[in-house]
Amino acid sequence: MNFWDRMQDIDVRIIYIVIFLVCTIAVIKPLGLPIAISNTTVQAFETMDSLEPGDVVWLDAAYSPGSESELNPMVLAVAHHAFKKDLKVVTFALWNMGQKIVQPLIEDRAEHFGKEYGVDWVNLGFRPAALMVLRAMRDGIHDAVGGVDDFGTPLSELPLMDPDNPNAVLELNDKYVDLIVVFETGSPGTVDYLTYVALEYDIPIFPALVQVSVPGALAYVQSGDYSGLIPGLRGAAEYQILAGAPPTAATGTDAQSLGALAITAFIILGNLGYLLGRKNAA
Amino acid sequence: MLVSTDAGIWIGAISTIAIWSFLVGDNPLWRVAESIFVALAAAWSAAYMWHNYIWPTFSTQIAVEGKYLLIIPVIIGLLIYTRYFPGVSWLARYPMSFWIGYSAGYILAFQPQPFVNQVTSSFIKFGGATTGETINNILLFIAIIGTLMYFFFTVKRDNPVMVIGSTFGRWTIMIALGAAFGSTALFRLSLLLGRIQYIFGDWLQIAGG
Repeated sequence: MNFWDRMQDIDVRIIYIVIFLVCTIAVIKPLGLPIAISNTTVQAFETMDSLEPGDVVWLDAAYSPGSESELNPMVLAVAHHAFKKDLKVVTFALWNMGQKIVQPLIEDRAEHFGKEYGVDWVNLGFRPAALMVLRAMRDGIHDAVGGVDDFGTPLSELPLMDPDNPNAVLELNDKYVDLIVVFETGSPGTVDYLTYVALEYDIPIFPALVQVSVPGALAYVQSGDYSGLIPGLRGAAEYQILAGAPPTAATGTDAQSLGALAITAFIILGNLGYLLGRKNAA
Repeated sequence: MLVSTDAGIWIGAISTIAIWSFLVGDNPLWRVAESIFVALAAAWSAAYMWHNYIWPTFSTQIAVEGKYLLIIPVIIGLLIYTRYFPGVSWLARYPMSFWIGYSAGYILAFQPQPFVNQVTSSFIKFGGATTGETINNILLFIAIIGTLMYFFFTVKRDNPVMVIGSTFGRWTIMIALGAAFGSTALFRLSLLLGRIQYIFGDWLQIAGG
């Protein structure tokens, strides 16, 4: 077996070890590679930046702990931007652990900007059956979520959701909500909000997506349905730069770039092994 | 190097290493970690749903706020459990029928709009503000037509137009699938990075994290 034949048949454990070492070294010693800002992230940033103080942003945590590494930096960046602009934030979750994951992240940014829970932001928790819940929340959030937030506090005790407050957020429609941002791994997610809420009430919406979902979502950006898009870990780093948020994603992008280079090198070696090995055999 | 003294982080780190041990081969450590994860996730979900959704429906909305009409959907929902009792299992069809009928009707009413938006957004002018935009618009049009031609099986592939169109469409599909594969690889890398940052940052505290 010559060199090129061996390149087609590299032991997968060698590939695992090389990628692990490359990523680990980059995490321990970041290179500080420059980050170019993509158009879709700029579009998303400008969509939120165009809002006025007091406007309401609806954040949905449609992800599970498996996607934390990509989506948590996005939550930090978007929450930072929202509170910096004195926006009101309502958090909900279409996936059953999302609301617990984003709670400390949004709390951190809220404390940084001196925002108060119940007045400036609320966590409504998770409810199953996205279709039914979104339909119900269009007519009344209070009844749709059982009248309590994620901690069991009656919504009537939270000024941001209290029906007696003229500025309260009572329904998921254009009368109360000015922007929807969905942190999404899959379904249910942004497409559900787009289909059942955003298109009907003409509410701007953009997703903050894991990288694997980005190619499919770009069609919605091209059609104008999404007002931007935050693509994966790199998008998180880009949005953190634009919003002036703590750069927690930057070290990840260095390691991601080097890891991607390592994978590309193995793919090229394998294909060269196939082509040259076939040529030698002929 | 100052290793974390947080028990939760230690448990997370050991669990991560236990799951990674599967890369060496199936082993009891991995099986234990996997079983604990599945059990915890299922138990947490059940407990959360009871405390945050089911119980407040009874204790607050029905008992305190007097929304007695909610008892009707509760009974309809409970009928699903009759499938475990052979004599009355036919009752489980009612909540399923309602669920499927309502969902199908609602989805059919709302789904066309985003799809139609994407179709109409493909009706673009070739001439853009810049040369790059013009090239993009022409390429987009040709790619859409070529891809549709590739899936147009009712016309024979023996005429030059279909051959060229469907070949271009096949290459477009392969490029799109390649982009999707690349995105998937980056996503998996990000997941690995998250764990590496946890192990070397939060646990061993030798990285900034």
